[in-house]
Order: sequence, then C-alpha cells, then structure tokens
Amino acid sequence: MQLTKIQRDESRFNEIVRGRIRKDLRKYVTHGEMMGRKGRDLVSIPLPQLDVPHFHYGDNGSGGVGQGDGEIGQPVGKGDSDSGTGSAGSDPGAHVLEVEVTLEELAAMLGDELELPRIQPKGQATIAEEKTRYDSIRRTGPESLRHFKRTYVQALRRQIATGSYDVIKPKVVPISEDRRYRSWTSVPLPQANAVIVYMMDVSGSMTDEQKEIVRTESFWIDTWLQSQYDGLERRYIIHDAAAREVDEHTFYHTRESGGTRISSAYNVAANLVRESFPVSEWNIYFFQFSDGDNWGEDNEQSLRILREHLLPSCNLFCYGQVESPYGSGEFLRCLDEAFGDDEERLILSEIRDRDAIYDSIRRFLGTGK
Amino acid sequence: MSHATEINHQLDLLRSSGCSAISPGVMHVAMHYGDVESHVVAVEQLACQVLHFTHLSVRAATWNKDQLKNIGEELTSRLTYLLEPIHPQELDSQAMVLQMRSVPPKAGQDDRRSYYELTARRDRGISLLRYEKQVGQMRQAIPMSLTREVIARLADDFDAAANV
Repeated sequence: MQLTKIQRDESRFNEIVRGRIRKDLRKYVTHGEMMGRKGRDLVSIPLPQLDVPHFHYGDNGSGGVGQGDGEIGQPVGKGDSDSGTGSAGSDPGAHVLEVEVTLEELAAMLGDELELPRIQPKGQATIAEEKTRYDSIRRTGPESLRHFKRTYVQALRRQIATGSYDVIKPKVVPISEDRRYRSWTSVPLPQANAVIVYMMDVSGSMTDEQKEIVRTESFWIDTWLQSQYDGLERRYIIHDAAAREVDEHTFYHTRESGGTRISSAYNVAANLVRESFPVSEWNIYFFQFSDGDNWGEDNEQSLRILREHLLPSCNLFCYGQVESPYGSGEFLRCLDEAFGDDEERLILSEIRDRDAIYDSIRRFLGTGK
Repeated sequence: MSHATEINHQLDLLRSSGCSAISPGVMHVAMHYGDVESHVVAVEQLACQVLHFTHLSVRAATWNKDQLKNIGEELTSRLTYLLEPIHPQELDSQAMVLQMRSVPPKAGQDDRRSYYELTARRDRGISLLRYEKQVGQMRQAIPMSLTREVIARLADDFDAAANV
C-alpha cells in the first residue's frame, strides 16, 4: 500500500520525536517527568519545542476614521501613539509539546540506551493462561456471532440439494437450520511469569525526597520487566520496625516513626513467596530500598533470612541504598562484607541523588537475569 | 557543690592533666537521678571538645514506649541552646530505643553535613553524639565543641528528662 504524503510526514515527525526522547532519556529517567502521566498503556512525555516564527504587524496603516468636531480644511492625521507602560520580557517562552509513547516503546528505548540484555526467564514456563480462539463453527450460538458466509453457503447447498435453487434467478434464502455460528476453543498457553516484590523502609529517617527517588526508579524497573514477561505481578512491602504488605499508593505515601528493622520486611517477603509464588513456576525479583540505617542488632538476623530464604528463591535481589540528608547507613557495607562478589543474584547500588538513578537501573537490570 | 561547679572542677583537672583525641580524659559527675559521663578530647578556659555526652540512670531499666516518647518531647523543648532543633526521628518499641537528630542537619562547606544524634535507650540512658557526613563517604562521629555552660545545662536537662 502506498503511503500518502501526510502519512509520510507523520511518520517522519514521530521519528524526530522519538529521537528527541532517546536523546533526553537520561533526563526523563532522572527526573521522572512522566511519572504522573502514566496511563494504562501509554505515557505522555512533555517535549520542549519552539514556535514557528510568524510576522508581527507594525503601526503603519493602522489609522482609522477621525471623529469629533473639526474645522473645514483641517487634515485628518494619526492619533498619538500609545506606547503603554510595560516592558518587553527578556526570557524565551516555554512551549511544551506532549507526546504519547507506549510503555513498550519506552522500555525498548531504555533497553537500547542502557544496553540492557534481554532477560532469560529461568526454568520452564509452567504457568498456563487460557487463551480464547475462534476456530470452529456451530449450529447454535448468539446472533452476534453468526457467520454470514457459512450461513449462506449452507443455505445454497440445501437449496441445490433440494432443487429449489434457480440458476436463472439465483436467490438464496437461509432458514433457521442453515444458520452457522462462530465458536471458540480455550487453548492453554505457557507463559513466563514474574513477580516483583518491592520493599521499602518508611521509618522516620526516610524523607519524601528519598521516596520520590524510589518511586522513579521503580517506574523504570517496572517498565523494563513488563516488556520482558507476559505476566508480571507486583507486591509491595513497607517496614519500619514492623513490616506489612500494602497497595502501591500506600507504599509510596506512608511515613512511620518507628525504628528500622529490615529483617521484618524480609520475613514478610519470605512468607509471601512461600505462600503465593512457587519458586519453580515464578521468576522472582526482590527490590529493596532503604537509607541503610538498620538497628545494629538486626543486621545479623536480616542476613540470615536473606541467605537462607530470599536469595535461593529469586532471580535477582537488588538492594538500593538511598542516601538521606544524614548520610548513608551501614547496611550496604554489611551486605557487601557478608556476600561480596560471591553471590551473583545480589546486586547492590548506592543511590546518592536523582542523578544516580540512571546508573542504578543499569546496575540492577544489566545482569539479564 | 553544685553540678555546674563539679563539672567545671573536673574539666579544670582534665585541662591541667592534659587530654587529646588519642587519649581522651573521662569526666564523670554524679547527678540527682544518675551519672553523666563524657570523653573529653580538649579543654579550654571557656569551652571544650567531647566525643560523647552520656547520662546513665538506673531508671532507664524500666523505660517503656510512652516514657521514651515523653523523654523525646522533654528534650526537644529543653535543648534549644544547641542551635540546631533536635526532634525524635525513630522510636523502636521492640528494642526500646528513641533516636533524635538535628532537623535539618547543618550544611557546611563542600556539601558537608553535620548533626547531633541523641539516643535514649532502655537499660543504658541518654547519649549525645555528633556526626559529620562528607560527599561520597560514610558518616563518622566527630567531637562536639561545647562551652562549659552548655555542658552543665546538658547535664541538668538529661537528668531532668531521665526522670520524666
């Protein structure tokens, strides 16, 4: 099919826009500009642009018809120019064009930009999803599924067989026995499924800015993993000295004043996986964010649960330590000392500020697991 | 002898005997409801530098969550002379620990930040430390520069808060 000129122009425009997004992807990743704009499958990205230049008319020829008393022979002149009192602005105006991009496209851009490897799902995909396929014909069914072509073919056959079909005056009239309807069969399709368990420290030392960093990073992690798995589930756990599973909104908007016990979140996560996500059937990802200010005596218990329950069950365990105004805590170092480089599934990242989100995502997702 | 006089006397002794960051001197003064203890690294006529300032109280053995909360409120209202507002940050009712910090931390040169951290812990008492955090480095405890008058006030205020 030949493209029309307008289609070519639109396609070229889209290419330019996507190129622009790719170019500024680091900025979008870092500052989460499209965070509040996430729709079901689309995100809306603001792109700065310049207006097309256009002419401004001057005063010439702007005179009108004079009014009021006048003497005979008095020429009609221009009125006094009114210059006004304000002064011209010196800053360029901000014009923003919003472009809609699908999450799939966004994930592809992220993958290209960060050079992320495709994920190899572990084991066999054993979870089956029922897929409906319209692949057969029945004699009964709802009228909305009536197959007109088959119905008329059947009517034609019947008329020919009974001799009521007139070749000179061909007329096919279906009766109720001729009616045929589309029908479906349910096909089980194997799917690679994954669950992301997010854990966040919401103790008093975690500020709103730190939570915003977590939110931005989670958005990109979500977007990438969603592009890699057919079925993706997300679970959210918050903790201070005690932990509980919550919904997404509560996850990002809760602040507690309790102390910090990371082991409480690990316990909830371990129970969740044990009860709902069999290791043999699910690709399990843990993403934990904290300022690392764990109460000292809890470190040992946390490490034990991590080593015995969480690491053996997951594809990846990613720990992001988000620096607070009071500095980074000791937990990152504690994990590093306990596991070092021996544990491939454990990825550690120190997120000092928003600018560190980009590299942190690359570190977390760059393993291809 | 008042507590302030006793503290001054002990600091004078440490000044004459000499103390440093390598070998800090220990100041120990008995108060109404416990003892204050501090590791002193330098003493001048008006001020000194201490690594920590701790109030040890027998009452600390029975502190519960509500008492820790009250201690936090009491200290927040009293410690105004440190020139950095100190507020409760976390209260762990399992370990019975209250953590208070300067809010916000003090910003210094080269994006350095420093702050007071005050901990009230069951079985141990109330302790004050100061931390500094430099860009890209772990935070570390640093000596606090306090006047003798502030040390005496801290001792009285910790003693009063421990009895809440």
